[in-house]
Amino acid sequence: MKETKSRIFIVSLAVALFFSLVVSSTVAILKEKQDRNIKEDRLKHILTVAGDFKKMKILLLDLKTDEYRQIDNDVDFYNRFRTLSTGKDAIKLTKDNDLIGVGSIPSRIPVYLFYDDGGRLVRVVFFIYGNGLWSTMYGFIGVEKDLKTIYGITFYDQKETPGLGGEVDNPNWKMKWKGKKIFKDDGELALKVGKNIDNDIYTVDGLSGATMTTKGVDNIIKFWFGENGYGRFLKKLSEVKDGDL
Amino acid sequence: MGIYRDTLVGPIFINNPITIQVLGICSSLAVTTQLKTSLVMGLSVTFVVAMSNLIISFMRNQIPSSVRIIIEMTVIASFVIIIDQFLKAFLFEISKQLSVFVGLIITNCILMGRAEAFALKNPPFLSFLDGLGNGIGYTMILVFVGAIRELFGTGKLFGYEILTNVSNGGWYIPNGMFLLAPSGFFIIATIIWFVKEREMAIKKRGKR
Repeated sequence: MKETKSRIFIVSLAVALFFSLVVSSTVAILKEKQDRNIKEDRLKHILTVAGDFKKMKILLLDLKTDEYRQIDNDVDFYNRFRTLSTGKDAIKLTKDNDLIGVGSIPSRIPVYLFYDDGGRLVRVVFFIYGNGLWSTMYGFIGVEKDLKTIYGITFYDQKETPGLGGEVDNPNWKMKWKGKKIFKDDGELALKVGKNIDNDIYTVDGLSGATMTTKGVDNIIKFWFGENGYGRFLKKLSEVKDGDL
Repeated sequence: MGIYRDTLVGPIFINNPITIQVLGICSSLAVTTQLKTSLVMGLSVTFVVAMSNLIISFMRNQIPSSVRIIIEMTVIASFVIIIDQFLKAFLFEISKQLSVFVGLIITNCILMGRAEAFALKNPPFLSFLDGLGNGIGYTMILVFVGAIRELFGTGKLFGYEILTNVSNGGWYIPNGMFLLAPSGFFIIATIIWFVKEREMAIKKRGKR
């Protein structure tokens, strides 16, 4: 077979065109089903840190103005997350403030409130994210009604080293978070995640062999429960009786 | 008929890609901590290697040899993306556990190895069978290793408790070492050792 330049070009082009068509049509056909899986998976993660409840309410919190309003679903936030977190509405973080290493965060973020059958607030679930070693870790943290004690934490999307940093998703490790306190009684942010620290209610033992991932989680807590994160909202929430928003 | 059977069955036992050709070791260490992921990974590789062998063999007379590697990669990568998308749509939990390793099928030596060594020189159906055989051979070892690692590492198979754990009031203390990568090495090395021993024994018997 003669191997001319034009022949190489034509065969390569034909193969490339054909397979790009096959691949893109597969992706297009399966997109809807995959999106549904991702949505269900996310909801499952939220529920694991929400515990028992009767009613769920989603608020859209504006981190710029501290105002909030109730929304029906959170789909839009996650679908447009990339735009919302970097676009013109996003909150730019200065270098000193950017503990989580992402540059900018969305200005409006969903907060999940859970009520018992008496209509009293039992738990609040917050969306949290930040950089670990290789990847941005996305997760949720559930806080008891005293707004200080952790009920549970979970990460639904992370690409840390499997077996080391990837253990942020290990149930045994996540169990250690239950009952830990984020704030001291006077409201000071106190929770630490790391190695060789006192094993009291304000500390969570880090993941062995995953110093950077552990530091990432520590920073996530420090950032999201600080002044640039949900700090002000939590203060506001604690002043409302039974979280009656 | 014999050639078809040999092409299909050969790679499963006599010329197994992992134990004899020693191809595709990397992924067989990574995904074998559980039986379920091992099985899904094995089937995915089987699909990709069989289909890419088939297509490459169809095109073997058209592919200019100076760009053949790139074209083979295109075919293989396309099938890997397709299987990855299917897993994400229909086996979401498992696809999350397999994470990057499905994508890494592209770099699995078995695929390029079979395309280069077989599909470029043989007709489509035979190439398809060769791919199928190699895939099944790979899956078999993966499932075997996965079963050992999950059983001794956690006391479970397919997530169902077989050896009752101490933490659940039983007697078995899970041996966590089986879940770490080195144990995969040990198990595969042991398998290769047995296979080679058997091969030598057969050779000796033949001489007498």
